[in-house]
Amino acid sequence: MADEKNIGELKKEAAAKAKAAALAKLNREKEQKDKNTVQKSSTSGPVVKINANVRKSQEIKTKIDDVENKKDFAKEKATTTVKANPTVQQTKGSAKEYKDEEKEKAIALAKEKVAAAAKAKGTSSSVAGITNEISDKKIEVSSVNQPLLDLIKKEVGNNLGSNIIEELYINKLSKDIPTLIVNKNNFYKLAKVLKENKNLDFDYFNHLHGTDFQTHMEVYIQIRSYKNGYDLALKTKLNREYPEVDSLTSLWEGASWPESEAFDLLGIKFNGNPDLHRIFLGESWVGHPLRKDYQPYEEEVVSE
Amino acid sequence: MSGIAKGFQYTLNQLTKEKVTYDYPRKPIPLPDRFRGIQKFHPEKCIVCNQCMSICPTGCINLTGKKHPDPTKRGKIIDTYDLNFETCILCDLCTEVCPTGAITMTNNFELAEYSRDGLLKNLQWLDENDENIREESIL
Amino acid sequence: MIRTEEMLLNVGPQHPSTHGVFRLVIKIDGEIITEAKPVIGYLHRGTEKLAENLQYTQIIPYTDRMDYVSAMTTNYVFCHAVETLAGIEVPERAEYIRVISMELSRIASHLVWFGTFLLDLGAVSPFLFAFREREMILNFLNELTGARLTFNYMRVGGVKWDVPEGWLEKVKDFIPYMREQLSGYHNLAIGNEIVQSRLKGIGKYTPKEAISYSLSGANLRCTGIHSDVRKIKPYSIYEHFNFKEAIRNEGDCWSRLECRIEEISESLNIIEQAIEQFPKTGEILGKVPKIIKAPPGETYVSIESPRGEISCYIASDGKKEPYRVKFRRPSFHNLQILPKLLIGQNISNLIVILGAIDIILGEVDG
Repeated sequence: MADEKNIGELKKEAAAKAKAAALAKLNREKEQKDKNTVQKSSTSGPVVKINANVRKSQEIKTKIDDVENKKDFAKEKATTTVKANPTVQQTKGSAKEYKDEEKEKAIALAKEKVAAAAKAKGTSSSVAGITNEISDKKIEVSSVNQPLLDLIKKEVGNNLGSNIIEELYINKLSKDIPTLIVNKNNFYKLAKVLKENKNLDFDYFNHLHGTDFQTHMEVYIQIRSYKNGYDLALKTKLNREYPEVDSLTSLWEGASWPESEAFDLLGIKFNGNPDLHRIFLGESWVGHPLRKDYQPYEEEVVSE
Repeated sequence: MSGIAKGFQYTLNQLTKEKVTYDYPRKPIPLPDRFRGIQKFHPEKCIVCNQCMSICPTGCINLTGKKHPDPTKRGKIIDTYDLNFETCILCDLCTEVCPTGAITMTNNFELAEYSRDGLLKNLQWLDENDENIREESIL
Repeated sequence: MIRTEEMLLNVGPQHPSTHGVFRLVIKIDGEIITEAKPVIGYLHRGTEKLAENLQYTQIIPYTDRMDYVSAMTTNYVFCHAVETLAGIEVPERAEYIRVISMELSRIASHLVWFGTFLLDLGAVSPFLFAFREREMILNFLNELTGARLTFNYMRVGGVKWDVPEGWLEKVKDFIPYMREQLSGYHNLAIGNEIVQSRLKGIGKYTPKEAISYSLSGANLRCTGIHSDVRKIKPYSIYEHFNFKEAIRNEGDCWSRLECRIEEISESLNIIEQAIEQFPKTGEILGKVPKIIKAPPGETYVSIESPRGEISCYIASDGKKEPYRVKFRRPSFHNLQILPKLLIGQNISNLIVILGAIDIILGEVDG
């Protein structure tokens, strides 16, 4: 247990690394932008192509992993962590760069970026740094869900101000789902906007669970809009000692039992849930089993 | 009321059909070759690699090895092999990882005992369980 | 005026029509239910906690035991999550075997539901006929996997066994037989006036309520919402097949029955096409390292199980064990609407409404 690095730390590390990479990339792109004329292309064309590229690079990646698994584990770890949330920094970076510009312009730029990336990919031929090269590519590749991410950013920005979202990225490992991280005080507010905004209309509550990351608790929810066909993941970090967050039952009735489940197994308190109870284990159970430091109250029955 | 008449007609039609129930305790039930029943253990094939013990999801296998009695040969041979059928879920992972096929599944599945202690089977019992051994293997 | 007194009634946990250990505390005024409180957790085995200390391959047998009526789909959702997280490619032949076995599993599951649901209504013989057909499917799956219920068949990156000789032909012969039986069921029970009058208009809810209570599967599709994950977010090779999504608009118990029966025939269509397209040669297991390690990160994938949308969340920290595993279990979410549906109903409709939701307690309790 002592040497176990938790995911939170890993993520931080990854974020820092990816940030640096993304910034470098952006500078390079700027230079390229001057050289290249704007390439006009349909949205679907490059996206599909890029997706194929992701596949391919993933294939290569797994192959490399197989071979180099033991050889340079540290290196692999670094690259995979970058892979874990590649678009965070892309969006962050672009947010900084194009803060005042029009949205259409931003999209055009993104397209251009993709085109430039594709070009850069073709030309680079260094064999030595193959893993690094792949991870670089990963950062650049835009996702099919990028427009949705932009839409969410815009709508949330219009309603609550752009500062409310702590982090916003596309989780490539989870079928390209847009993921928002928000402060727990704004959790309910943001969920309300996501549900009630006409353009987003996230009316279906898909899933809720909590995770004990040892440094903090995390609540992960996934919501869906059947009308628009959108999916979205929303996360918030809670204090581990006193995990408390506002309940979502007044928005979605279906959130009640999953909240009770998280309360039962992790001890996360959902303020405002009228029916918060220990749904599985019963009120007399001591401790919350899914916490990483849980000690069973009773020793298990061993037949020897 | 035609629905009820149709229903009766359907039921009556079944009377002439072949029986589909099993005459199980009197006649053995036909099982396919891949059926996962109680394991058979071949002590002579075991190389004490401990893979079955570590893959077992419920931790019901316990084994110990000893040095090969023939000093010219290297490696270990099996000393004890205990399988606890109180917790075994017959998931077949132990036979899947075994590199020599020392543990295989059989088609026997009757395990009822009068006491829980009777469900702890040792090497000898597992060795003697040598009927209806599965022929197909994924090695 | 006859004065009635409120009475507290315990249904379960060992009531046969709760299909497991499910307890329902209801208050009745005469024959009308005024309050209902479901009590669950009798079958909670802590799969998620157990999974934290197990390797990915070792978790698969545990997923069998969550939805024990169609273990194949639970198997699949877990393997699919690990494959998505680790970027493992699955060979096409393996995907075809998976789809065929999953759809067979789906039919078997719906047959169990159909039989037991009508048994709850008081019709005994449909149960016997439904189980006769289910027995044939279980024999197929037994031949393929070596077990009748707890298959432990899927592996990360493929499947465990290849199809046995002659197996596909047997399944192919089963399809027309099953279609014939479906029309037989119609004569026997579905077309029966008593069954229809017992189900129509009972346990009704609107699409808005269904969405708000996070229902999924036939429970949501019976209100006219297109929510089949195989259609809206295709996974595996479902894009290769031509099949319809079972949709009804009434939102009552009858429409749920119709949805599930239609799903059986659509599953037969899928199996038929899959056998036609089945690749003659090919691997059944992709290139997977012996000890699977997923890269750090998290993933959440959804698939369509017979009971609705089942999903698996995995957070990994790069070790051979997952850091956190979580399943979205459709029965658990579907059951939430029960108290709302029961209030104001006659007590004789309780079992009908509960049965129509189609819960599996192993899945409700995790």
